[in-house]
Amino acid sequence: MSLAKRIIPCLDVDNGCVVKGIKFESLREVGEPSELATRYEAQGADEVVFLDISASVENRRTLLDVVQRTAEKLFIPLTVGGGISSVEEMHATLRAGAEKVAINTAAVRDPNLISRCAARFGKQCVVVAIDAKRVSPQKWEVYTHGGRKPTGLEAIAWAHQAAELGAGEILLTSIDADGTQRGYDLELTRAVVEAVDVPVIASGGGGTPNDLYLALTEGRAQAALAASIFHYDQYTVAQVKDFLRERGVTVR
Amino acid sequence: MKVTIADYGVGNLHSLRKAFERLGATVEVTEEADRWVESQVLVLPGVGAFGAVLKPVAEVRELLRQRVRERPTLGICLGMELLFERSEEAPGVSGLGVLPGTVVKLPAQRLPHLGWNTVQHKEDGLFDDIPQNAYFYFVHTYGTLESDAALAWTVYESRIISAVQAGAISFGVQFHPEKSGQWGLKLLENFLTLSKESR
Repeated sequence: MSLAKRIIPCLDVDNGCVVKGIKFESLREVGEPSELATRYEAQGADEVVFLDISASVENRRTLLDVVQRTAEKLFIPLTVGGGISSVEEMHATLRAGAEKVAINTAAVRDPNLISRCAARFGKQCVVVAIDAKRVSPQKWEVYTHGGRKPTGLEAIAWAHQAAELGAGEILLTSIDADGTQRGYDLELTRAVVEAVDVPVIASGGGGTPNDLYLALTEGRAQAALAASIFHYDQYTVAQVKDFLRERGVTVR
Repeated sequence: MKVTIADYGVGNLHSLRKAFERLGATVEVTEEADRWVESQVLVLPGVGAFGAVLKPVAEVRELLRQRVRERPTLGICLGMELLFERSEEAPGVSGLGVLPGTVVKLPAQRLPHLGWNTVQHKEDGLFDDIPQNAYFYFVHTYGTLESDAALAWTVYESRIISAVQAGAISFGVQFHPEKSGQWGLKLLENFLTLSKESR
């Protein structure tokens, strides 16, 4: 027996509703967050991630309400990210009921935010989300602001630095693969897994059970995150886990 | 039955509160250390860092230690680690010392130990009606490798202790039962049943 690989449905939340974009654009509503989260729990999801893609001030309040409503019903971990830029905002999100909080743009702007959050809440609460775009065969650049703004940072080096600063986990999204449902960027995933000594969640591109299988085996990720595959009832979490179990992957 | 959850001032106690409420308990979440000492059933939750959490505990340390020995207490994750004498996470800071020993950094390549892992346990009591190798949710970097008080074990590269007995109805669990779905709720229910029987 050993630590199970995790399957994590992700809910992109805009003003309290779940939406899912293709390559970060063309949004389409798919449902109510706490309802979807509990449905995934019943299917055997190991965690749920909420990404607030609106991240304006009023919507932040809406998001915290949604987090609170969800946390009251959910008996698996909930990770929340999107627009969180200070120790205080992380505190408010944890107090609303998140188990872990993901920071992205703010961590790039001020890497020491990672250390401050880790010192205050413990590194297990701090997820650093990295959106990376391939710029040459073995090189990926970090983008911020929901995948819109290039930073000049090299993704593998940034992942390593984030872990050194106190990230308890890396949530790694391939911008090229996101929303395409054509498979994860396995080279990127594997390169980051090898560069850090914290768990890595692979994200972006998961469209079939086999894509998740490859992310967890060839990509060597500790967890695979997916959205569309679950939202549109293409597969349930249970079906994906059966597929993985049949192929020798340890799942709960 | 009333359950008091110690609030050290950080992190998320919603799920813990909701889990106990779902099981029919009345829940009090309080930052007042005196209330922790006086409580009927006490839960030491699992959020924060060892050194930071022990600051509010320091003033009532002796009383709290006595209380844990005598009355129902459940330490979760960090709350379990606090039951020991000290931790490598905060050298020089004293734990409650209900159990002898030092909490150590886990000997594993990838930390934290994060996710769902299986638990082998001594049957009955806290693990009544929970199957061997049931999955529970873990998230920790420090832990205990040896203790005469061990009730349950989990393998993450090496064998770690995932539950201990620290008094007649006092326990520590390294995993988060409030985040562990069905079996986590069952464990909390068992703890409440044992607490009721002890009255």
